[in-house]
Amino acid sequence: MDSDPLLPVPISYIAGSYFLFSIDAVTYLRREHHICGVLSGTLPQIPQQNVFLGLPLKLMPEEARLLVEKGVACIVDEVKAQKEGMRALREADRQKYLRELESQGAHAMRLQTSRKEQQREEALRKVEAKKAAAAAAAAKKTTANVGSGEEQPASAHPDDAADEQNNQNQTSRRASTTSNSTTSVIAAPYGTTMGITPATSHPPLPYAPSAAQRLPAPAVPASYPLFARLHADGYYLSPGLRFGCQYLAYPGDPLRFHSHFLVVAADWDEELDLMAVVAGGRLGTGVKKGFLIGGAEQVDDADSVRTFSVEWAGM
Amino acid sequence: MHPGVQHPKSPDASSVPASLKTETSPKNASPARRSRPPRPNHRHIHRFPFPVDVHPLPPLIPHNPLSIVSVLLSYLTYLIAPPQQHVYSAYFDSATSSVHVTDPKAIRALWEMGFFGKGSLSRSEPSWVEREKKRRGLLGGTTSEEVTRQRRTERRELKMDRARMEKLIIQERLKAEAAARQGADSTVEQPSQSPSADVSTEKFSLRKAKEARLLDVQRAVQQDGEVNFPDTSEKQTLNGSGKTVRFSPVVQAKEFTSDSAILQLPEVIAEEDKAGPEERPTVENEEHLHLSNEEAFFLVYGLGALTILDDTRRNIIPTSALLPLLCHHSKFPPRDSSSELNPDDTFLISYVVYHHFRSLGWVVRSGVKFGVDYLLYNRGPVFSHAEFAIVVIPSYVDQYWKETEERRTHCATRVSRSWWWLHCVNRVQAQVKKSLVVCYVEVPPPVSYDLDVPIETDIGRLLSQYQVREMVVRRWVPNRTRD
Repeated sequence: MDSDPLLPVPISYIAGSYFLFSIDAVTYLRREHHICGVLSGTLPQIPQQNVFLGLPLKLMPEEARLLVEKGVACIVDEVKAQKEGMRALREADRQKYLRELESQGAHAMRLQTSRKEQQREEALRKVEAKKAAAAAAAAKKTTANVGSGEEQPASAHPDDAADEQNNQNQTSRRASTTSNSTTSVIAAPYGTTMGITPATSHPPLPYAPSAAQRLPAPAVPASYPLFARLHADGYYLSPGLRFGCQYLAYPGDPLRFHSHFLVVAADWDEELDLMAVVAGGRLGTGVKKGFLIGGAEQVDDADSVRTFSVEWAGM
Repeated sequence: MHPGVQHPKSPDASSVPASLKTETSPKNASPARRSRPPRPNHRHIHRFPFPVDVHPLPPLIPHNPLSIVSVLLSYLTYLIAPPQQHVYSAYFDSATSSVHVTDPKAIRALWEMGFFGKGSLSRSEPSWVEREKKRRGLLGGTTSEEVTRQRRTERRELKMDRARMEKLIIQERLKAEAAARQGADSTVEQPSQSPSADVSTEKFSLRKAKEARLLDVQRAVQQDGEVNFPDTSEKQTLNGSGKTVRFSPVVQAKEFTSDSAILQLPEVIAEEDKAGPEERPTVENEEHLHLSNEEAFFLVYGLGALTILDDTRRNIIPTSALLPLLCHHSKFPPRDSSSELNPDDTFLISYVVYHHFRSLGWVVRSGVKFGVDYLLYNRGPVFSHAEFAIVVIPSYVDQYWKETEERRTHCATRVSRSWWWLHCVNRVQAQVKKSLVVCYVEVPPPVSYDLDVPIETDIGRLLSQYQVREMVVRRWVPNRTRD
């Protein structure tokens, strides 16, 4: 349903972090390349928001590096790109872009008003139906009472019926006035458009960055070979600080699966604190995951990565 | 959260052996309750906090001259004939860098007074002999390891029960859905009447599994009582002698599913009883108490209640030689004895923390099982769970450590810990409801070169140069901590 972005996807490098701003790129990378990242954008009014975050998507350096090595993405120095792009922007392009924004805003407004109109008509129809049903029931009741010929405190019923008729008239009148007003609203408002805030800046600026704006592949921590290996094995990896590890390895999309492993990387000859292995194994077993420790046997050889998982037997 | 984490010797754990929970019918429960051995009086057993003999003077009452006389008398008695402090002996095994106590009396004393050491064949308290006797049917009662094992089998069965029930619910739902699909055009209200609806809405928990199990057992017992009423007496005798309950299909199934050794025991007992109880073999205690190096040095240096023999088991290692020896064995493989003492030696730093908390009155035990250095118990592991988990980190604040590049990198490697490690340890402590305390030990500069006497001879002065700072670390979640 959504269109695939043009490759390579530009990854914005801003203040030491890697971001994706295009929703197409985010969904495409998640779907095709198993890169999930972390959504990090808040609503403008609620900067302390920490759940249900939105765009931009923040990537780990490992994820960015992996995408660059696959040739799917390139790293863009976003500050430089913005400055140069804005300087190179011609007046005609600027005008065209503004017009385009305006037409998008008008389109959005039109959509919204038509939806509102629809909802209102539906609500009115419901009210009318209810009133009609009530009136019919009341009329039936009064005729039945008259037919039985009993001595009733008859003063009440005709009054009620009259009241109801009055009400009905009033509502119909009100409905007609409102419908009039809405038509006038629809007729009037095409001058006001909604403000559009685009998430990406590449309609006015060029999509593909120039060679000068590109950055080399990101620097990665020593755990990168393990990351690449697990990713190649089909795991989805996400940062694992809340479980006290470097990565969480999911067997499929994190929205569908619980993670299977708490991943901690180590150099092949690194001295490990045995206590850390005990704690990691205990934590992993406690949350029904495996504590996985691994690293490359030879430096700079991604094929020599070996992994070991630790589990407590007695829990 | 984790029942297996609970210390087995805590009073509430030992009061209800796990096997009794499943027995519900009154005729089952009463003989079992009678056969339960009395709980040991921990208050009495562990009344002394340290293996040190204390001789208090009688109370002095000013307006009673006789009390002064008695005070003087006992004081003089102690002065003329000072009472002998009982000193236990242990040996240091240089091959394994560990200290062992083999004398059963010393083992009991060191465990009961201050909770020192760990049984080499047990998880904590040296209880191997009791377990072995129990296993051979010579003794009643339960040890902590058996309670744990029983709990584990029970938990495993409950989990299997739960899985079975969940599968059942899923099957029923599938069936209902299939039926609904078939009769979708004919009847609309069928799904609301299907029995799976109320089953699936209630969440199946362990407690419910337990209750269901109880009901099952009760029903089975009732049915059995109705069917073959005449041999109830036989059954009662069976129950009374603590043998396996053969009549209930549920319990039998339980025996088949669990592969632990305890449940097969009664038959062994029965065979031994038939063979004749008079020729029971005596069990020789093959267990010894393993003291950690910090505990051993505290007993020797801090309390004077222990002497440590060397590998030949003849010569006593003097205290001044013991400290460098243990320091050299703080790494594996041990350094040779000629190398000089580092002030940031792992043993010295951890001993400083051990001594610090012991002198504040805590019972300090190893925290390996929770991935920390020490656990602090208020009175002892038999009374309550540990309250605090201690992580020891050296701290180099002195100017000496910042002088050269080499020293700076050394300090950085000693101090550095990863965020993952901290989060991991903190989360483990949160799981077992302990407070994580990070203990920073300020390491003094090496001072032996400007002293005439070698530092080993004045241990008090050496230790007084260290400072301990404690810091409690807790995970703080703003969303959950809001009022």
